[in-house]
Amino acid sequence: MAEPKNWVKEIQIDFEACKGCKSCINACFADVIRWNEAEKKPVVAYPEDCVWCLACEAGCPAQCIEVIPNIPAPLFSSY
Amino acid sequence: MIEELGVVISTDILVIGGGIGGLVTAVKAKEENPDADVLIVEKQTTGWAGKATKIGGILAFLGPNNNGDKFLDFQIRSSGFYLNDQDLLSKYIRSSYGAIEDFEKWGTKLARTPDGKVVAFPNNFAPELSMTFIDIDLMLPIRAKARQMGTKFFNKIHVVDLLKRAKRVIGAVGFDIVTGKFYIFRAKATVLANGSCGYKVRRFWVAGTGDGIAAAYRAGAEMRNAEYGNLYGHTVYQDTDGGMVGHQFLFNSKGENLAQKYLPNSGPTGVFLPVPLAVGMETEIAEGRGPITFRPPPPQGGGYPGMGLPKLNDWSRRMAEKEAKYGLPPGTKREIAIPLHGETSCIKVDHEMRTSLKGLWAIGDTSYAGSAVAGAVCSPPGITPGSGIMFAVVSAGWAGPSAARYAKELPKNSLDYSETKSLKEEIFAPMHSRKAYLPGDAISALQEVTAPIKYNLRRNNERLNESIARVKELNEKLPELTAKDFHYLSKCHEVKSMVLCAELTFRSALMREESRGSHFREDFPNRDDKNWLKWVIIKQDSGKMKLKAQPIPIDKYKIKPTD
Repeated sequence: MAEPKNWVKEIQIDFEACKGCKSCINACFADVIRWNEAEKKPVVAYPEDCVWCLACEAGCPAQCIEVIPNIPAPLFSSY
Repeated sequence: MIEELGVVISTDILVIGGGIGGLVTAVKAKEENPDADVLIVEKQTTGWAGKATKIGGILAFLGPNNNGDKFLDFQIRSSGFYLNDQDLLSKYIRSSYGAIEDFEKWGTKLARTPDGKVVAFPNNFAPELSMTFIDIDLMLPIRAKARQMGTKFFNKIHVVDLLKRAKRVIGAVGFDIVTGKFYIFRAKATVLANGSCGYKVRRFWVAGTGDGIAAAYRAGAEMRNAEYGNLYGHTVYQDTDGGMVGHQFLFNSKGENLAQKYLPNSGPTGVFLPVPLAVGMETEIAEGRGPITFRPPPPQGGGYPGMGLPKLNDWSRRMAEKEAKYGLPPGTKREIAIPLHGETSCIKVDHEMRTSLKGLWAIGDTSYAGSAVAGAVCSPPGITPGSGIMFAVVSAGWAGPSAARYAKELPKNSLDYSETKSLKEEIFAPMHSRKAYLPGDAISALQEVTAPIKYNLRRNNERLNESIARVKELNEKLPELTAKDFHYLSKCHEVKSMVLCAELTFRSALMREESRGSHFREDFPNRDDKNWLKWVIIKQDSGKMKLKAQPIPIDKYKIKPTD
């Protein structure tokens, strides 16, 4: 099986500060963040699909998300 | 009862894709016929989806004082190399300023000079072209406008296939990627606005999986210029996959300037890599003169600070802070890579963005190459940055009203139960698979065929046949794809779409026995105007991929090849 080639190391959400407004879920174009109905909070469901576009971070009114990129990037070589 | 199979939704106009092109299609359709029901169905969230909010930002247009004929002459002779539909290119570029005016009307934020005028820089990549910038939240005011006009939105729904009745497209089917609910959309007119195929190689291109292209092909639509689905750009820097400008500042380990070495005395070469430079970079690495590094001169300043684009400025600041905090230490020599962007966008369309199937339109990045606006170059036309968002908006401005007029004249369609049922079974099959073939593994395997320059840029008969054989192997394994939930089911269908796009690209490239623009054949290194002023057309026929070469009506076009 191929090695995981993730673009991010971690996506941290400060749940104390999170207001549960779902902005991050709407802003994500890769379906990384989902809604946890029981907790009324977002959940990082598919971190392997995050490409740190930072739309969730930028749009969070509570500024409680931190995306930690994986650098060097797992870019597929063409040569 | 069809309702037993899933949720049935009826609309006049179904727009598949809630990025910039889909939103503008909805607005323009409503302007044409305010009574039409318009529904946008998007795999993620309308207004945030697609590529426009990621790297967008640039808009290329022909200003009121620019000379369109001069631009067309350059574009056709030096970028499209006569594979353009010259009439459509002319219509496109002359419509581009109208899109700038629309953006102002809709309230999107365009770059401004200190005295409040829209910024218009000369575009250094093509004569007579102007360039401005737009903020990355550009879709939100347009979404508000579409909503206010009565457009409905369904988000988180992956549309997989089109429905047909008597050779006419009558809607589509898909599933909710969160709940798994099956949806059946019945529509009088369907517009594909869900982007090109980028094979998930580059960071901000991951949304482009060619779902619309694959659905159109399976429904029997014609494809054109699929061989031009092989866009490569260098990335500055490899460690973060960020940026791609200034290939005149690329150096090998011996300190040689590679643009001077491989593109001596060339004119404007665009933001993406010209073939000789990309192949040259591959040679440099193979012959041990790597790594290739980027050494631009110190910034000169200029422009207007901020330019009234707060979201773009905030995003740039965040990116820079991330790279500083988590990236390589300052002073590290940063290596250049040339990843595949792909941009396969091969649905053939006419001058109203109608596909070869009745009831089906295709706009923006689904049909950029297939429209033949760009000619022998990948979309966005490699030589003129700023045409991705612009083409989406302009082509939506044609498709929306065209679809609205068509829908007005039609009665409602009836759906076929057994066709819908078998599509549903096929769509959900990976949920019941007993194998363990994960979509992530299939994507990696596909990238090994699509991404290498030796297969997709430095082409020859032998390697194209090898790549087609490898795609065939992948194709045979697709029935084993396994999804553990509906997110992964969506990934499985993305893989299927991408494998099909790869096959379209390689087969088309094998047929074109010459070199032209971004299609380069080592075994046919010259442009052959005698035999190849033709478009390669692909269509599914009895389950097989059928190719033909269709002569370009060069006699009726104004600009003709000169010796």
